[in-house]
Amino acid sequence: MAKKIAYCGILSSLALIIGYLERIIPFPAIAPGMKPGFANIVILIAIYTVPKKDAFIILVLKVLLTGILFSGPSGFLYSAAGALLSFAVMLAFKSSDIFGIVGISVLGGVFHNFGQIITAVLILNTPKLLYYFPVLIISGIATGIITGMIAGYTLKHLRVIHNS
Amino acid sequence: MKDIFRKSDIVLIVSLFVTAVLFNFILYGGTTDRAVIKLDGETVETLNLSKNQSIIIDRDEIYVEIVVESGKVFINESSCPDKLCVRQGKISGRNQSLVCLPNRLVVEITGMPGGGDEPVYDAIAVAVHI
Repeated sequence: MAKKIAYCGILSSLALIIGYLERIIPFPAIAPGMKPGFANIVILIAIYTVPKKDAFIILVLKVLLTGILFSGPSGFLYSAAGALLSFAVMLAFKSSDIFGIVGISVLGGVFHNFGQIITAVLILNTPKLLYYFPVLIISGIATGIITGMIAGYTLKHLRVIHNS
Repeated sequence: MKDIFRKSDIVLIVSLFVTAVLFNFILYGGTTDRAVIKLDGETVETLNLSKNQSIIIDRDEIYVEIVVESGKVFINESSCPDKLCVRQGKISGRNQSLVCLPNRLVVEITGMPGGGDEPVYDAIAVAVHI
């Protein structure tokens, strides 16, 4: 039990730190608020190593704390929407067991972007934002592949540590 | 269970990519694909710019020949006294137009769904400024 708490704690702090670094390091602003999404590496690892409830808590912690500490209330709303949608989709497809980690990660990335832009469209009442769709899909695929592979190989080695 | 890469992943990525390309075409494609001919402000004819063609508007005193060639449109002949419209030459860009005042005729380049108000990334970024 303690081991589990410690493990989740580590994942949460990792997610936070990565989220922080992403905010500091400037990223080519292809679309407003677009970030590499490396924090998803942690979420992926969580999804594949701990029960769904715990993974959800880690996600909530990440979104809440990143929002409170690093961004304004408005930025928080969009990333929260994106994160929640992405999480739901990832879990759904993971249980169906059709895709490998990279596939799940790509779905997560794409839907995270969708969530963000759709929220922006609704809140700002600007349907024109939907024109970003093609860019969002492509960047979702790109970060999804990278994040997925990193998470995948990390998990391969984590397995070894867990079992030893 | 925990494979990193599966065949289905590649299928997924490719289909998503294709969807993105499709959307790109739907949203942005064809924004300069037609020329609208207006007489007295009313559209009388729409020409597809991808098809070479020529059309003659012949009503009352108005006689104008409009030609589409290699994606560009120009006025070849006109009954107006000064022929300014003919001299305007060829247009093909968004929002470009040919005007013949005496004949009250306008030829405008426009496009499909995405056309009309073509969003520019910068304009959106300004509006959003998250």
